[in-house]
Amino acid sequence: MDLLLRVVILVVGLWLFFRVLRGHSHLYFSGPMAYVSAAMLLFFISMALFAPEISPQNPYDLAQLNIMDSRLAPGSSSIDQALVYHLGTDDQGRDILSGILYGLRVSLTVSLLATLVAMAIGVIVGIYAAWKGGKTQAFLMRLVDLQLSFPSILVALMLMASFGRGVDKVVLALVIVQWAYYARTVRGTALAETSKDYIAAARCLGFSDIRILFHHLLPNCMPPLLVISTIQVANTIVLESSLSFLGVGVPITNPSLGLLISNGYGYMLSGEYWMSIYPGLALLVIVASINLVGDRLRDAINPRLKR
Amino acid sequence: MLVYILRRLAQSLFVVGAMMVIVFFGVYLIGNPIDILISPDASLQEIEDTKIRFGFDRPIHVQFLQFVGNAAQGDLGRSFVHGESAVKLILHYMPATLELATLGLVFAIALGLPLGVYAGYRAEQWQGKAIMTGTIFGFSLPNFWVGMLFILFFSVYLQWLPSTGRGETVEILGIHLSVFAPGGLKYMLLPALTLALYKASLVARLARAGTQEALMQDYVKFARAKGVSESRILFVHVLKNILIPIVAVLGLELGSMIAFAVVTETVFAWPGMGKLLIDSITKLDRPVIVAYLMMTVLVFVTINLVVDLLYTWLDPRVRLAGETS
Amino acid sequence: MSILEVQQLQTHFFTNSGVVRAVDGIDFILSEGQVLGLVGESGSGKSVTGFSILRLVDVPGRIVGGRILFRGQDLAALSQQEMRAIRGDRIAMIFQDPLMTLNPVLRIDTQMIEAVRAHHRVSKKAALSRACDTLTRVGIPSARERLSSYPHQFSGGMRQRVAIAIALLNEPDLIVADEPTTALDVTIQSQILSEVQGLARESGTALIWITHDLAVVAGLADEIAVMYAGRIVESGPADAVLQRPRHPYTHGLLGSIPGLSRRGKPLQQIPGMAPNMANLPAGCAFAPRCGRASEQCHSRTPETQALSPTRSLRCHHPLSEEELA
Repeated sequence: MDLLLRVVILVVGLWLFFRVLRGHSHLYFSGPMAYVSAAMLLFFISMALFAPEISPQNPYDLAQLNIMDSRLAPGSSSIDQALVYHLGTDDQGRDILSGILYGLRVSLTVSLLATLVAMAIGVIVGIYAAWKGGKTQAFLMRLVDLQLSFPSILVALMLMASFGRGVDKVVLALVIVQWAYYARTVRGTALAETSKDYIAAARCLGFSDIRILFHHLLPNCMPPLLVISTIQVANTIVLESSLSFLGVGVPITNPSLGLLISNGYGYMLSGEYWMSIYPGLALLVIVASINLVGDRLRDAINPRLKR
Repeated sequence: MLVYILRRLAQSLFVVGAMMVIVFFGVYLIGNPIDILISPDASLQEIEDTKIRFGFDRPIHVQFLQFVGNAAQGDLGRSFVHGESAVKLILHYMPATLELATLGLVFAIALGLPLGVYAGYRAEQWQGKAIMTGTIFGFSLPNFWVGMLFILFFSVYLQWLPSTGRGETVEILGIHLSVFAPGGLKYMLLPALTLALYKASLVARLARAGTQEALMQDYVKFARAKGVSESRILFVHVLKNILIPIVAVLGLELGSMIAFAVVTETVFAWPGMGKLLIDSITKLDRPVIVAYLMMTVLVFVTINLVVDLLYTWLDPRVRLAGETS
Repeated sequence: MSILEVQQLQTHFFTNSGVVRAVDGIDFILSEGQVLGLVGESGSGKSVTGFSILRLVDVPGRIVGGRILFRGQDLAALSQQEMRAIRGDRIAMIFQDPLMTLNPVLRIDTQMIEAVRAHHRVSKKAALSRACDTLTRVGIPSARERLSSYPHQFSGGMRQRVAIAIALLNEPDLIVADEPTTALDVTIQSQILSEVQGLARESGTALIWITHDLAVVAGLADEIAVMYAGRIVESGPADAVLQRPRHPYTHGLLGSIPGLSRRGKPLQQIPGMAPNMANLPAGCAFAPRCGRASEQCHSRTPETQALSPTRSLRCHHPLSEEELA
């Protein structure tokens, strides 16, 4: 991806964050933990975005690998003394640190993409159901309930078992697993909003349905949705890593953190822990920081919480 | 009450039926339905025989009816890898998963409930906040990584507990269970704990929210006015009130435990349905996959039904209203 | 022998919008077996006074000054442990709405037994039998069967009787009743009133009856104290205060009660609204609504003057004997 594009993405992300916090910033930044978790999140996202620039090695470029460097402990140097493997190497001689940076990228990209698409579909279905009401709503919500009554991991597993491996297939499976959750949430919010006066006013003014839906209703349903989606990204990352760990997720050519952990699992019992533990730590920290930020965000913009 | 039970039963049957339709027609959409019934390297003759036996030469609605008919008799195809009936295979491995999921749920409640209630009691002080941050880490940790960490720490480093496999079992009513076997329990501890961690965090958060709300109610003030001790207020008055919504959520969580067991079983090489499923996926043993799907749906629907009935029984207001109406 | 002596009690609430001086320096003395009627509008601080005596004031409020001498012991200085021993045993409280104050998911016997066992080491059976006797005493028929019921199975009046029974269980020296009849039907109200009066006289229990309705305490109380904006503005023997009210507020309250003796005459109203407790005016809090207010009233808060050994008043221009004739 172009460097400029990546910088733009970072800026857009920051803007979105502060936009959601509109007016409630002081409530969010209420303690040291708030700053720490937000900083960690920013740090990790930046690392993932700019991985090609900051990574010591591109572990998927075979020309850069040396099989003689395989399974080295953290802190060792490469055979030709050119590189220090701060977190050790795996069985192919790949630098774990670089692997983590690239793996973060895959994990984050897959999850963000899946979340965005699922949110888009869910929002459309949810708003449509709330707007139309009656039988349409009942039918759509039954569908949503049916899907939601099964644990996401099972549904994802089944889908991946049918699709086979591949990044695009993982994204598709994750989208299918998640859209229903957004649909239900949005429909709830939309229902509450449609009974408010500004919608009635818009109707009286003779605006077309589409215009009311997208211009008036949608913007007001977004804030709680954005917060939920933050936490959902975290869940999706965990789900994708579980799938990859089980061998039905992303392919070996483009590993996510889950796959890295899976690759290193066999070596763990013999004491070569670094191949699994460090990617695992990275996964923990990114997921935890997303959850911490998302949790705090939700409390900060919740109007019903006692101050 | 009876009407309610019948209505729920009908709903459950509807869900099972819907799943059968989805699985059946899903297979058609994704590929050749023959594939789910026979091995990829079957001979042409075998393919023909299977076609006739399962009626693939007949119109689709007839095929569906045949599928349902076979399913009702417990025939969902044969496993390629093991050569046995897929249903029989799943039933053989099910007890191991069920007991793991149950023990996991027990741990989750035993850990999460008291922590959550205490966190709700001390919500504004450091204890409450610390517990809440702890729960966030609890559900941020991927299941499989926690398992690996436990193995590393308890099996490799401390050498207290075995890392993989299932120990001795004891046969009760024809079912093999580890939890009551003298050597079996220690094999279950780590996997059950791993499973429990995520759920315990959720339970703790739920319990805390419920406790916070309950503590604002007048009956707590009245109990204090009577001179009742704080611990009794927390663990009798508040607990009974928050237990009802928590039970409703937890019952459904048992189904989710069974699903998460898929990952845990792989990490700990625990011989349950989940491990069977993963092995079948990697070996493309499709009949087993289909059978797993149908069996799981059945288990889920049953659990949902039981939980609903339990909920109505637990809440005296709902129960007595039902009786007097 | 005085059983309760409140001296300069101050309970303030520290809210985001400022400090609310809910109780701002009140004094009164209650003798054994005496009934005190504490009267005031909503927001006058009467309920907070009751809670302060029992040390049940919720955050963000707390007692900031004064002493509460119960049998010579200062309740305001006791630890929570020591206070818990007194609550429900020596001092009991009856709340306003028994539907909210009885725990909906626990049975009546459970809630009564725990009140006894919190203070006395008796067997459950003994506690149960005491509960049964007390329920009968408050006029609940077939007490033994009703003990196994849940709160929502009782009518409003019955529930309040249960609450009264709970208060009487350990034969306290003092009962604080916070508007116990406000939530009940008028017919039940008078029933409960006379029953409580009888029970209190019978057992020699002192009673503080908190209400906004002067008519309610008219036949019940020995002493009346009228509260306004956190202070007692007039107090004295019931007959004296009711027939010869000296404070313009008390006079206004009495004048606004419809009654047969006033047929044909227009109902008097006290103009204006209750003050905003977070933002009290300087000087006498009642001055903005008082027809007799002068410069002095708007600038200096009146101190408590003793008109006689039993009568006290906080007013710069009390009504004179001639005006009342």
